[in-house]
Amino acid sequence: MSRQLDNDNPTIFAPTAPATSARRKTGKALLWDDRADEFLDYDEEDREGMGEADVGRGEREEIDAEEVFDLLRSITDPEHPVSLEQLRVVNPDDIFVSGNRVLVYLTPTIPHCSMSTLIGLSLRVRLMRALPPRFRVDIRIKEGTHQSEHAVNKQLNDKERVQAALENQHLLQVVEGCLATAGKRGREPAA
Amino acid sequence: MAFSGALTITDLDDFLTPSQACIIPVRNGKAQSDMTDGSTEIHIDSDNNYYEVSTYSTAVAGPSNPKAALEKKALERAEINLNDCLACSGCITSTESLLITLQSHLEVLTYINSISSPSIDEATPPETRRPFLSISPQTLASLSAYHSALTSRPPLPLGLLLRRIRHFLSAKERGSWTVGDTTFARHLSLRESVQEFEERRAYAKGKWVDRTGGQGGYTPGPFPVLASACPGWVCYAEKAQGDLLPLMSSVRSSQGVAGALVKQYWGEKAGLKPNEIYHVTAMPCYDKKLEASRSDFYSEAHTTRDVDCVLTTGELDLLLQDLGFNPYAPTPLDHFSPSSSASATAPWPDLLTPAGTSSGSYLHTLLAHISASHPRPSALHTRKLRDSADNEEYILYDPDTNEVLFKGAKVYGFRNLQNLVRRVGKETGLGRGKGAGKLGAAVAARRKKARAGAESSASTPGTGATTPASGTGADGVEVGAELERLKRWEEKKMDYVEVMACPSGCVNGGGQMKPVTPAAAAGMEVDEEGYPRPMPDPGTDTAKPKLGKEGGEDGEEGWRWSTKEWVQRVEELYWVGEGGLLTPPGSPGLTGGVEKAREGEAEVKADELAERICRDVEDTLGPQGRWEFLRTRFRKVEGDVLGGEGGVTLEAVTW
Amino acid sequence: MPQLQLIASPQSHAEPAWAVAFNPKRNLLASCSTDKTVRLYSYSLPSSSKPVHQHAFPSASSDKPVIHHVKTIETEHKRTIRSLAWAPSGKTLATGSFDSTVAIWEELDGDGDEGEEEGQEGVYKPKAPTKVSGDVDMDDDDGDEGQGERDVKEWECVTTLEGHESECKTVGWSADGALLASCSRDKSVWVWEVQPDSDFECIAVLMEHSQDVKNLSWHPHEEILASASYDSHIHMQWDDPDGDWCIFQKLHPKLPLSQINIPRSDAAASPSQGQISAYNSLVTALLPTPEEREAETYLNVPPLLEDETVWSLAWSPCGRFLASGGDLGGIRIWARTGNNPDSPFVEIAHTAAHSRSCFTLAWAQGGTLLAAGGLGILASAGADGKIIVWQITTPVSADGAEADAPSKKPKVSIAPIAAIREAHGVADVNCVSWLQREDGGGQGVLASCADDGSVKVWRVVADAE
Repeated sequence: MSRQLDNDNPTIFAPTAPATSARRKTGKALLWDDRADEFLDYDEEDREGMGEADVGRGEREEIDAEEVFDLLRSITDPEHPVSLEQLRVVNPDDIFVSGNRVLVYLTPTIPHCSMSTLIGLSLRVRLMRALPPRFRVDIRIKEGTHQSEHAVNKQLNDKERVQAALENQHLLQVVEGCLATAGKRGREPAA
Repeated sequence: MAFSGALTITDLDDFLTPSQACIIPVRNGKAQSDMTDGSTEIHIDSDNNYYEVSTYSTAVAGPSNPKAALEKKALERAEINLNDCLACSGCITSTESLLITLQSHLEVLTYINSISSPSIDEATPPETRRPFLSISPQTLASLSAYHSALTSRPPLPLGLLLRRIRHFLSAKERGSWTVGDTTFARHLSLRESVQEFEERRAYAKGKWVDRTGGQGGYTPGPFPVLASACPGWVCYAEKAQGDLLPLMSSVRSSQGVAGALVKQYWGEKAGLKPNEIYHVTAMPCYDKKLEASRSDFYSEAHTTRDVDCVLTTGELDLLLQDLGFNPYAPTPLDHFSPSSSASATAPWPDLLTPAGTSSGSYLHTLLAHISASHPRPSALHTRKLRDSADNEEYILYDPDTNEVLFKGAKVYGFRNLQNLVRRVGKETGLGRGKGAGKLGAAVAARRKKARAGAESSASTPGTGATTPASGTGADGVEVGAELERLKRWEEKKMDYVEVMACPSGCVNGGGQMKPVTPAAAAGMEVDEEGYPRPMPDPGTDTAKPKLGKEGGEDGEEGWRWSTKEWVQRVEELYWVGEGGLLTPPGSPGLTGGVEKAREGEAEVKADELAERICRDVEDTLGPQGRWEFLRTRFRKVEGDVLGGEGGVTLEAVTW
Repeated sequence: MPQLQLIASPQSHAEPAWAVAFNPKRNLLASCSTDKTVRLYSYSLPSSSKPVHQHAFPSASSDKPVIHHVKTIETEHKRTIRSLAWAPSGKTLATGSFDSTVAIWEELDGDGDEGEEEGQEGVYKPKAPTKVSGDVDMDDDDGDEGQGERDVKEWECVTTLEGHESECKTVGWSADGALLASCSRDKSVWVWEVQPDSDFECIAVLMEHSQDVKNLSWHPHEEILASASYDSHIHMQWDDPDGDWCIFQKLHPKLPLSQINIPRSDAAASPSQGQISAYNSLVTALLPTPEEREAETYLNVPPLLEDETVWSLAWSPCGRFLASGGDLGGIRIWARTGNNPDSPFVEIAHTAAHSRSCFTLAWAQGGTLLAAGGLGILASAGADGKIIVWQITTPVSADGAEADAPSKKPKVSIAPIAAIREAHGVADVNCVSWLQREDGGGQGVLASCADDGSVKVWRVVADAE
């Protein structure tokens, strides 16, 4: 039983044009300064944005699915030097936002992809860091795309396990590796 | 293989299975080019089904260099062997047992096939190694109990069973095996344990002389001596309790000594080089496979191991069944006199069973030794801690002076082992200070002082034991003397601990036969060919096995054994010696004047032979050679496997 | 209609706070966090805090207890401190950490040679600033703080219990303090016996859960230990007189969810302004907002199809009932069907409670009188940010005896009596804990802590302010 890359020849798709959310079009103030991504550690940058965003619940910034996609699209796949967008692991159509809730479906490249929990963790960490804390995030494997869909779903949504995972230095290192490119937000191919 | 999937990475759960923690495949990828040491000897052979568990291609983590990874992967096939496994702390204790399907009965069958029908394939060299099988007495007891329960016949005494296996495997078409049991090797191990104990005593008094002249780099360790015969315990200690390793007995286990005996001593007598012998052992537990893979048991000069393949009891049974062995079929060796002399067929004396425990009698051998070397009569006090036979304390004292001569314990099972570790850590100061807080030494001392006052009249702190109640308002000389005695018992530090990872010890090893199920019994055709040889079965009804606790009224349903009863049964059979005579477990005989355990004819002869072998080895190889023949070393496995490696592997990060 | 009144928000932890617990003997509250510290708070009850009768809640306008942060223990745990538990003696504190260890803490003896500690940071200062949010009026000059712990000394780790292979999730002391249990992601539950001289002896390692063990809870007066797991089971364990510690029953939830049963009669019977306002706030807190409804409908999040994790456990004060909180947010009640230590438990209720995981439960005396079938008040909280207080009652017959014999399947009613949404702002509430004193003082005082590191203290008051 040989341990190959889980998917050694994934289909890679061209990235879409950088997202232009409705809000950008209207010229409304951005939650985050895009340029900051290039200079700042995303963590810091996102925390700053978060603070502003949550001032005064009455006039909180609305966030749409495209923006959430924007946060996730450039995360690097743990196995391949390409973005989750290029692998179609995350798709704009599979992200839903309503009120304080976000739902993300992720589509593993192959049905037995063992990296699904890791990818899911990266998504969760990214959103945990980047979204204002009022958001409750649910992550689901897109139905029928993984042989252990339900088990993965359960693990990805157990916050205690997520917390413990983030205290595992080895794991965190890999997650940070995947997230290092997240700030590009689709502006250029990750590689 | 039932476990063959264990190493794949596709599992989702993040629990501590080897699949999750094992990072060896990737790490080894780098070192593949210069594999010169013994650790690469056990290959994962791609066309051998028992090896298939662990072939990996190297997955390069991270996005840095994808192309290189894709090109290299076909070439670099990393491998896991048991030695890697031992050197890694990625997972703890018995998880390795999952890996260990690679030494299986199929390997032995392959060997037998290749020797009986030599391959025409020129690529594979013909099999020329001489086969040798060493069977542990616990294995024999388990097989005897199993086949008795399966066929509803009286159990075979171990000596008879051993001779039947010996006869069966000695057939030419099966490879002309030499078959022995490991009790003579254990005899050597026990003798060496006594010697080591004396060395440590001498060292503690500053009177130790290094006979190897410093070559060995060995100094006797501190007390208490912790027995190292149990590989599960050794594995746990090396990975989780590294600070306690100096306490571990450096004496080879019975399997370790058997390896040296067969490959070095017996081989030389038979005119064979170590690598011309195929040495298989049959052991009660999986962890013995790990033990056999230790680097100390590998010979660089002959590129061979002391034990080439370890079978569990269950695997030996599979092998024998595959070959068509019927334990109830009589053989010409049946009536062979149970002589202890090394006969034409027995390489050394069979079934030396010293009184004590079925896990090797390590503790009792020392008790007997200390008692015998004390000039006055001694008395033995034993007490079960928490009413458990798996946690017993033995105090040997001089009833006249109340001097405590020796304090030992028998500690079996994971739970008791935890408490042992805490207790020994406390007594010795080893392995402390890695806690969540730091208690200043001064503070600790003050607390202790404060408590000492409060407890001076309370009975026996630290044990919930069966110590006779010592009234607090004690007055009178008798009670005072008793209190004084108890105080001395308490204060005496531990000298020796017989540690075993399994509850009930080796008879309950993980590789032993499982209790017979109704289905197994029904599926087995009762072979009438072997005529019944009724053997007295000590103390129990020979006709039918006892009913399991949960057994129903219905006959068939009632055929189940509870685990407890099953282990008890194997324990009983362990003590059935030659001709069905019961060898007493022995501890009662030790109370009040310990006699040297079973000073029978067989033992005397075995002692003579052991003496001769040790002398021969020392004459040939010198003191250092003798040390290597009978001793071994333990190494701490560092906590963080990835520390210093730099790279992080995907295998390490499943959560 | 009672209400939850915020009485203090002491200084927050720097990172998520996971557990809070009131000391059973001293006026102390402890909290622990991912920041690897334990914080100790002193509280003092107003002198008028003794209830009119044993189970009555105080009036909203009565004097409030005062809470101060007095001490921060910088532990050497290497990862999140997930749980803590006070021994019944109140002298010993156990902490369980993701670093797999359990640490045992005791306060240094007051031998006088710690004189240098006095006056240092963390020692009680009457004017210690407390950060109080919103409308809570906090007055440090309250004359009733005489019961506060003025003299909190250094706490030292006296021993560390190792053995778990991975994150320790919960620690708990048995009712008499003789045993300590811990559970872990390694699927095991360990039972330790307390020995003299701060020593502990492991007396059982139970390894029958198939997934990580999230929570455990000791019976309030017997040596029965319940453990809850990711594997969706609750195991009931005891020290079998014929053998070792073992599991005598494995519980697996089966009952379908029933709707929250919001009592109506109460407000209708005494329609004062306060009652109506309290009732409205209860309903508002329990029912989803239009925005939440919309999100629910729009997202239509697929349910997790694996059986739900059991996150939390709490015994009724009488010991006949066990509550469990699940990943889907419901609360289940299990009843013991006999009087033997190992009498089996049956599931008798499953009520909707939280819209996300129910991380924590706490059950204490209070509310409806025992004679009227009162089984105490149950607090629950979880990932939806709500804290809900439930009145648990069992039907009584005319002569005051419980209607059901213990051997039959008892009935209980679970009615929410107070609730608050966004108890800690937008953060998940990780733990709630009732103040329970032998003198009955401070009944209905509840502590909670949350993912944002905040710790809050509430009390159930009889009416709206």
